[in-house]
Amino acid sequence: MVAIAFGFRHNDTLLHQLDARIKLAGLVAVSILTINANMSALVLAFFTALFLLALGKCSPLRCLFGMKWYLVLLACVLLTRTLTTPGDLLIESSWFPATRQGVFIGLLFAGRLLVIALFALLVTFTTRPSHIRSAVAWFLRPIPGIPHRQVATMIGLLVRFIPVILTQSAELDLALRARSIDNRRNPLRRLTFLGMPLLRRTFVTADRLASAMEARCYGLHGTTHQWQVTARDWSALGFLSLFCFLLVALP
Amino acid sequence: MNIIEISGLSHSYADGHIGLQQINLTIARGSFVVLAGANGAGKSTLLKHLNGLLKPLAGTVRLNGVPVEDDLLRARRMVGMVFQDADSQIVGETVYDDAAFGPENLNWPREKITESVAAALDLVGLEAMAERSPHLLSGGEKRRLAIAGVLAMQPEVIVLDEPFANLDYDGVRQILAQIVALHKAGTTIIVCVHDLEKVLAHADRLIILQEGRIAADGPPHQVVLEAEAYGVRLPAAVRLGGVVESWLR
Repeated sequence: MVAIAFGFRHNDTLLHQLDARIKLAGLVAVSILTINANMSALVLAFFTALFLLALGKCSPLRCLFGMKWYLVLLACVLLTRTLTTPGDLLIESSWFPATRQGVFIGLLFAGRLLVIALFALLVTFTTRPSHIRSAVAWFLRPIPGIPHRQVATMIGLLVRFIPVILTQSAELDLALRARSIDNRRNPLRRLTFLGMPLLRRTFVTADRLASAMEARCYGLHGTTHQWQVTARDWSALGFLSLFCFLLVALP
Repeated sequence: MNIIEISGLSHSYADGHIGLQQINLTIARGSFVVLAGANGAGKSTLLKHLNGLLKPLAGTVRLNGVPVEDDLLRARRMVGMVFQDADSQIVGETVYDDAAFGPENLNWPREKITESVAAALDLVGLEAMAERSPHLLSGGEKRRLAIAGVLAMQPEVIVLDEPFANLDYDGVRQILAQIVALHKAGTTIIVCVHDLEKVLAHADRLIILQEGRIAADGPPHQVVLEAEAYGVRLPAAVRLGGVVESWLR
C-alpha cells in the first residue's frame, strides 16, 4: 500500500512540469545538507517541504498519515536519544532518565530523517517514474564503466515490481494462515514457509519478464528522453541554490 | 499469400523433454487461427519460435520468406506476442510508459511513439487511464494493456497465449471483441487456447497439437469433432449437435 500511496500522481502543477534532473539533483543536495543541518535550518526545510507538497497538490496531512509507520520509527529514534544522552534531567526519575539535551538531539536526528523523507516523497509524487529513470541515466552517462541504460531500466523495474511482490507476499501469507500457520510457534519456520515460495515466484516472474522484454525488442539502443530546459527550470535551479545556501548559512 | 512458413521444426528442452517434432505449417496473411491442445502439447513452445524467443533444434520458421534468425528485431516487430500472465509482461510504471516500451526499443522518433501509443491505447479503450499505475488495473484491463503494448509496435501478426485465462465473462467479451476487431482490420491472429468455446466461432482454422505434433488441422467445424480424442474439451453446443455461437452476441 505504501508504494501505491506514494507513487506518481498525474497533475499539471509547477512542480510536475519541472525538469526531473533538477528535482533529482535537488533531492540529493538537500539530503546531503540536511544530514548536517542545525535546528533552525531544519525548521526552514520542514516548512518548505510542507509548502512544496501543498504546491504539488499533495496533501501534507495525507503524506504524514501515509508515513505513520515511518513516524513510529522516528519516535523510537527520539525516545532512544532522549533516554541515552547525558545532560540535565527533565524529571527526577530513575526509571525515565530523559534529559533536555537528549530531547534536543533526538528531535534533530528524527527531524533530519523526516525532512529527507518528505523531499523524497515530493519528488516521487510529482515526477513520472520514466522521467526519474531517464534522469538517473543522464547523471550516470559520463561515468565510465557504468551501464547507465541498464541501471535506469533496473530502477524502473524495481518501482514497477515492488507492488507486485508485495501483493504476492500478502496472497501467500493469507494462504498460509488459511492452513493454520499461526499455530506454529517457531518464527523461523514461519518465515521459511513464506520466504521460499515467495522467492520461487519472484524468480518465475523475473523469467517471464525477461521473455516479455525480449519479445518487445529490449536492447541497448532505444529512443532516449528528450529534455527541454526552459526559463522556469533555470529559475527553479536558482531557487534551489539559494535554499541550499540558507541550509548551510543559517545559525 | 503465406505470412508464416514453418518447415521441419523440432525443439527439445535442456532436460531432454521433446517440445516439438517435425512441425510443417503455413499460415495465410489475415487469417484467424486457433491453436489448441492439452497442457504440455507444445502450443506455447511453437508460439515462442515465431519471433525467435526459442531457437529450433531443427527446421526453420520464415516470416514473409525471411528466416526468423536472420533478423530477430524484424521478427519481433512483425510478430507481437501477448503472454498468458499479463502481470509479468507489463514493464512500465504507468499505462502510457508500458505501451511505449516496445516502440522506444525500436528507436522510433518521439512523435511517432506518441502517435502509435495513443492509437493503441485508444483501440483497447485505455486512453483515459494513460497515467495510472498498471498495478491498479483489473485483470481484463491488464490484458488489454498487454495487447496495447504489442499493438503500439504495429505488428502484422498478433499471437495470444491463453488470452482468456482468469478473466470473468465481461473480461472475456472485452478481449474477444478486441481480437475480432483486429482481425477485421487485417491483422493475422493466432490464438492459443485449451478451451475452444470462447473463440471458435470467429476462427477460420483450427489446429490441434498433441505431444509436440500436429494432430489435426483444418476448418473449425470439421476439426472440432476430433478435439476430444486429443485431450481438448468438445464445446457444449457441438456436443448437443449444434454449432458454437459467438460470445459477443
